[in-house]
Amino acid sequence: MNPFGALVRRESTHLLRSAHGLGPLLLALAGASALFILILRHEEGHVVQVPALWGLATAFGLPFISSVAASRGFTRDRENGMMRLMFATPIRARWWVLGKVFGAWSLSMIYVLGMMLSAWVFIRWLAPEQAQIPWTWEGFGLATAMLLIEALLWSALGTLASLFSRSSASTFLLALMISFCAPPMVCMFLSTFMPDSVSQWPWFPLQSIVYDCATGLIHVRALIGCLTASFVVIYLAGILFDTLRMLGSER
Amino acid sequence: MLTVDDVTFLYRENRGVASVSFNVKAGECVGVIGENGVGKSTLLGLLAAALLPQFGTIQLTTDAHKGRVRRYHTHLGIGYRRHVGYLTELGPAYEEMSVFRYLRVRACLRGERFLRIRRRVNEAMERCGLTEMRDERIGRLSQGIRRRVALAEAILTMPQILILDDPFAGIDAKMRADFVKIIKAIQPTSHVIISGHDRALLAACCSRFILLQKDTPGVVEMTPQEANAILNDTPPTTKEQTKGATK
Repeated sequence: MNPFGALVRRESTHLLRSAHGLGPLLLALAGASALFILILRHEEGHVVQVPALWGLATAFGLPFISSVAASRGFTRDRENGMMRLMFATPIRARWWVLGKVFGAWSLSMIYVLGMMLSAWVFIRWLAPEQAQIPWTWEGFGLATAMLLIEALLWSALGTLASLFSRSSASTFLLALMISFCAPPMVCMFLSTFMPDSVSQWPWFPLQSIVYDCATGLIHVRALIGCLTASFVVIYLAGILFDTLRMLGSER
Repeated sequence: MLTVDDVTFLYRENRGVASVSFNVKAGECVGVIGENGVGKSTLLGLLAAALLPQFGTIQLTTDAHKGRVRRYHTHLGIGYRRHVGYLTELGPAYEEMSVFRYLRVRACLRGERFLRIRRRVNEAMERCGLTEMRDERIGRLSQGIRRRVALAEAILTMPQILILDDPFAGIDAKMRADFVKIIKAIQPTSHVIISGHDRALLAACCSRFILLQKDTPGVVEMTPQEANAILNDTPPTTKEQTKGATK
């Protein structure tokens, strides 16, 4: 067990066992499932693109679950005085940040896999026999990968937010704000580089790009943009962690 | 040898420590004393590399590795921190974990080799009398036992620098005596630095003292006798206050 593995394992286990991790997860799962069913009912009688609708429904809860779960990351440690001990531990700032991010990300992974299970159950047993649902495992896999990369960005943003405040309530609010405001902001940012997707202007920008789960086409620029943004946010959080160490504000 | 050279760390209100210089030899136990708010915890934080000095340097020189001299600085990388065991003022721990699991995770985070982790954790638990409660959740333990867990965490990797910030606060007399025994057992191989207000316990552990004074830069080095006279004038610890109140 290396230090980073121990850190991620501890963080993800703690999130899974605690109310602030499980609560958002169940809420997001319930909301996304309800949305999925709602869209399906609305689309009845049309050519239904189940995988695309599934993607849209899943993406709906993703910023919420990722950023809210990550927002308790450092706040909890700042509350109980653990930060001082963390500063004195022989682990670099970026590894602490990555540990927190991946801990929250593992929760998002459970959420996406849970939603995937619901889509599989629908396609396998609930869809009408004559229905032609255009999907492949590869396409579904790629769509899931894109969603998880998106979740990485929200988790990183939530972790960054957790470094700003010592109060759980204010970080929770900050994370909620991130989950509601960041998607359109990211969309606007992406649309400056990709004017062709402006016309669609969805709330969850990456979903407009991975639409076709049958072919699994992926917009590489969007993928790179999302990954780059995640790395930038993680890097900034590392710098902020070191700044707190220099300021000596933690007891 | 632990060398503190002209170290300064000031907060916004000009509190903190200024121009502090002293040395601690291996096997020596040094007590840091002074009134509340003079910067004892800040100095200990600096020695633990939990804070970075604004000016000056803190350096650990070791010749343990085949007679080869090695130097570690607090502001360069994580090498220095590998040699530090730190009991903070609050003695925090992951409350949702059992004692054994918490110590195992901390040993891992502190860079202990995989094959040694279990042995180190068992040793630390045995030294601190935690073996019987190894599977207890830390959140359910009393404050005194949590303090023991925090001490076990500090001595977990048998560090060369052991920093204990007010270790005797909030624990009963038996536990205090146990703490003195543990510190004395670690002392021959470590540089031990303790802060606190309890004269008897500090005198039992420390061979030398450092006095921090309000609005005065630097430190005053003292013998145990001189320190005893100073400590007699300082207000008693929380425990002593409680005793006085009940009387």
